[in-house]
Amino acid sequence: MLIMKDVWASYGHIEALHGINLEVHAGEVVCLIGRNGAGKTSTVRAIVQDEIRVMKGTVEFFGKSLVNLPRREVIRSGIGYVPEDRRVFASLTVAENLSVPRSYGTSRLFDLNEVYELFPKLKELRARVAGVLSGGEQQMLSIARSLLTNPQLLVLDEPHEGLAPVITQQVIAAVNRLKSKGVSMLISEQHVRLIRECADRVYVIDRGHTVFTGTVEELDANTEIARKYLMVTRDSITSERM
Amino acid sequence: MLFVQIVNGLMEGVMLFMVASGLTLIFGVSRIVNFAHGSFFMLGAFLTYQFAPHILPGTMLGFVLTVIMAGMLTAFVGACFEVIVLRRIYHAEELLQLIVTVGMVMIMRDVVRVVWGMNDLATAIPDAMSGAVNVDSYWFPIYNLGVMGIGLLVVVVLWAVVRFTRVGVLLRAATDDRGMVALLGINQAYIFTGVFASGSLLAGIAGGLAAPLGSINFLLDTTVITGAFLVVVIGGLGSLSGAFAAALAIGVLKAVGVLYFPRAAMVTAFVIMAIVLIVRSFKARG
Repeated sequence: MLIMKDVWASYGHIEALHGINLEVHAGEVVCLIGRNGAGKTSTVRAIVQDEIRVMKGTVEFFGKSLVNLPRREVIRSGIGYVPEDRRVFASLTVAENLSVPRSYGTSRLFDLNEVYELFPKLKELRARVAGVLSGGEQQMLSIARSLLTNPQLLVLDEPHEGLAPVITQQVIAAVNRLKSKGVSMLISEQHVRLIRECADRVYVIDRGHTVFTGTVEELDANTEIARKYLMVTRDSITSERM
Repeated sequence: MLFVQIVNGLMEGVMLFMVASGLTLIFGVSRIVNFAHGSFFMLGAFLTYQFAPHILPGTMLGFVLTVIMAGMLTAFVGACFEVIVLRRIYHAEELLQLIVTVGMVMIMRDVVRVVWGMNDLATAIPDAMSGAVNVDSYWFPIYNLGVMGIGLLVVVVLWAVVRFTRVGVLLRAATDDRGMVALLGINQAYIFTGVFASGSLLAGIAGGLAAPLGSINFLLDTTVITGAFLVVVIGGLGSLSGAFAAALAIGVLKAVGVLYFPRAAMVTAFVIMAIVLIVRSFKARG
């Protein structure tokens, strides 16, 4: 459904991506791995046309080019975006946050009831102002808000950034539930647990270009790549055990 | 005497809020400091002067229709300004945005001078609203009380729209994070034009209501914008409730201040602003 071919992109004069190749098929969960600053967030932004400008290459969603499309048109074409810093509307209540998006998809899989069922905590907190929620609750809200556009592809940028391990568990559970509902996802992620439990395929990005594509098992088998790029994630396993 | 001044102050506060509310809404959503906002107030006053003799002159209904028409036309001019000019510069530097809105002030002033001339103009209070009522042995002009009533009605309507409608939710969401609104597939252009038109409408109506209270001339814009900026800065940029509290406080303090320090009345407002800004910067630092 989503195909990025040899994408070069930059912020103003600063080039961030030099040749990203990536594909997401229907029903798949694909993870983007890479060190901090490798270009994960830039790749995601190049899909939703947020802040970054694609200079070369193609980004196609169901055969339609997304390059230079206004952000709202990208979303309306069926891509849900959960940004890195969550970006909930801090002065609005949870319920108001969830009333902002309109459904653009044909599936109508998610309505308010469905979303509250998926994240019961949000229903409890619906009258609360979003700015006072914990990081994890804001993350749930941000995902829920994006789901209400009924996207065919959900793009999550570092959903674990800055969250406590307990919350991480909830995010993994949420991703798995969405996966079981058939929602395709592209997740930029460092967290090894999520990658192992959810990902169908992984892409490794380094210095703005794709260096590896394959399943998690293939990544493990490729010792050189695994040692070079999963180092960080191996560390996080040990730190989690401690 | 104090009682009279407090009532006068509240009336001025309500008028001030009508202008400042538009300014703060526009800033909240678009992050543009719109110097031309006072010009829309001025335009509302001139249009009221223009229409008043032709729409059921002297009657209450005629006056209300006149002010509404003046407000609507002002809103139209505001919307055109947004669509034709401002929309192109939302991503530009703040200084450039400032120059553009100041340029609009100059243009509006010249247009007003060409159409209505350089002299002070005046429009009469409609007969139905002239006279005064006696409250506790003090006399209050009916017109002024009426203006206060209309102003409060506007405040309530505005509050309800912002609080309870989808438009209000989108407006507050855009004030928090307008980029994210677009990233949920919402077309922001409507929000921006809508807010600009509504803000201009409020300024135009305020100008129309103020028209019979003083002389109408091409310097009204700067007089009004100074007060409105004070309110917006004291109330917190982008905050409606803050602007309401600040407008009433400034109105009353100025009116009461005249009793005790007649020469320092205008200074009072600036002193409050200075204090608020100093306190706020301390708070921000923790």
